[in-house]
Amino acid sequence: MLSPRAKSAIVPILSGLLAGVAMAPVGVGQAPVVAATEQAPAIQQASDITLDLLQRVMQGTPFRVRQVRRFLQPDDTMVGVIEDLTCNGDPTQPRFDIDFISVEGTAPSPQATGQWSATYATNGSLLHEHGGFRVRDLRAARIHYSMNHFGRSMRGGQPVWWVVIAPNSRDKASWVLALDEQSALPVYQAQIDPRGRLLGEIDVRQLSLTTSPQASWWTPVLAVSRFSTAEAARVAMTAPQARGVGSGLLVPAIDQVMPEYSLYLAQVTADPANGQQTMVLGYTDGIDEFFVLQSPGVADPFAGLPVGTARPTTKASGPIRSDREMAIARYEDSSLRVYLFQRNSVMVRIAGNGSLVRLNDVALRIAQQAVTGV
Amino acid sequence: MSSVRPDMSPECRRILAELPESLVALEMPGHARICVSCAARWQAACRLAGWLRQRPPIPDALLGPAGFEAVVDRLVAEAERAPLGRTLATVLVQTPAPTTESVPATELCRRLLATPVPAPAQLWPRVRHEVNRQVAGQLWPMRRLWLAGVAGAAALVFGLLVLDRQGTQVQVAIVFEDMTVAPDIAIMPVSVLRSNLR
Repeated sequence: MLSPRAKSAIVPILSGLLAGVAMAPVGVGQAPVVAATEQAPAIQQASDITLDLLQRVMQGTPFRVRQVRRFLQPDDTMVGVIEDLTCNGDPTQPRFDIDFISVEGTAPSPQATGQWSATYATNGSLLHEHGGFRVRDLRAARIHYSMNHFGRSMRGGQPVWWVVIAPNSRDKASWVLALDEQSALPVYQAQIDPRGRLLGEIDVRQLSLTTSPQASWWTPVLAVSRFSTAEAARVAMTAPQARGVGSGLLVPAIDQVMPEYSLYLAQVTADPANGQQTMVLGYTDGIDEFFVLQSPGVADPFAGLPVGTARPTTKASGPIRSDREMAIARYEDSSLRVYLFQRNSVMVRIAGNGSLVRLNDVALRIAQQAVTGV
Repeated sequence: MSSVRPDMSPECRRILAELPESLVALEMPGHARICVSCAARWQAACRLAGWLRQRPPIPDALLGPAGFEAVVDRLVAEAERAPLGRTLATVLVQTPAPTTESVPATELCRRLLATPVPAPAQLWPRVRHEVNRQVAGQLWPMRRLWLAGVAGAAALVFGLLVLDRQGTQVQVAIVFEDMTVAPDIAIMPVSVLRSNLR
């Protein structure tokens, strides 16, 4: 149940947005093609829609979609990319394939198409696993989010159920989902910030619940090793740059800064081209997430710049001592928030959604930890 | 408490303060002509002034050296009868009277050392006290020097420890520097997608 405070802020905005989205055509001259099944619909009433259902169907349902991924530019313009996504629906060994098709509204040049294809080939998992709505931790999601039902409607000739998943805190985005009645898969999802601004959406143009045998699945370009804990990932950093500067790698102590977030992803990636290793730590509150990346052996990008200058100071009794400023580079807009700093020969990067202002405190805490070791 | 100052009128006090000048002038002040006390005081001062102007004659006994020798003898006799004199009499060695022959000083010292005289018992505590005082006076500067050295070494060690600690605990001020352009890093899906549009 949405808290009264959240209701007053979010529900009026979402209601208007839902009305406009529900009335909008799915695509010009196209209707979503849904493979017919004889199974009972996954959603027969609003109460059938739960976070558990969403997590289960998104991991365990084989499907293929052609969808438009729209994202917000820094100048607040929306750009859409058309892509094909195929999932095997095996929760024990999940596999997927994602391919770039085109840019919405334009005909990209062959060079641009090649660049887009290379981006999808390199960052396929980032787009598929972290680029949309996903229940990452069911228990935490139940605690930190509430589900609000907005009934049933028709979209592209198919019945869908509308829900809004809203956070209990006001510094995170809400998710508007249109769920296919048959499969409960989201055929539309929109991310909306606390001020009601649309940050991004994924609009399914075609949905097929049966998949033909897949010739190949997406494979990562980087070598990825996953671990159960951050400490295990830190120990596994065996790059020559990490040796001797192992003390520069740290396990962020951010429990008090972000109490509702917990570590759910710990992996080490290695670039086969130059051997550069990166420790990636992902934290989630059940649905939202942010990342802390640490790359040892990276030169200080701020060396020689005006930031981080020595400033001599004098004490009442004692010799002159120099203080030093440590700079954290910060970028923030409505969709993206990134922090970078370099300490002890380790480049630290922190990134999350633009509405998560508390990442400021996370960056500060990790920087303090890098300086003091505590 | 009653004042010890004599009860005199201000006019009488003024006459008394001006008495030397009036004696030189040999003129009785006008107030003394009407004040009985001041008149008596004036007359007495006049007699005393006359005596003070006259130098008394020196007695004959003091005109020659014998008189002074008699004074010296009397002072020596009194000192001999005092405790210091009695102590010196027992400590000092009786030296033989000088003869017409000149005795070398070394010979005199040899004779003195050949007949040692034990010092009186009451002298040794004084000597011991004096020796201890002198030794203490020499030791105290050394002790001060030693304490100063220890304190200086401790201060040096403490200072090195403090500076070393301060050297490892560098005070770092963490500041945010805002960027106007998002860094081109594949860390979030939106940053990856935006990178293709630059």
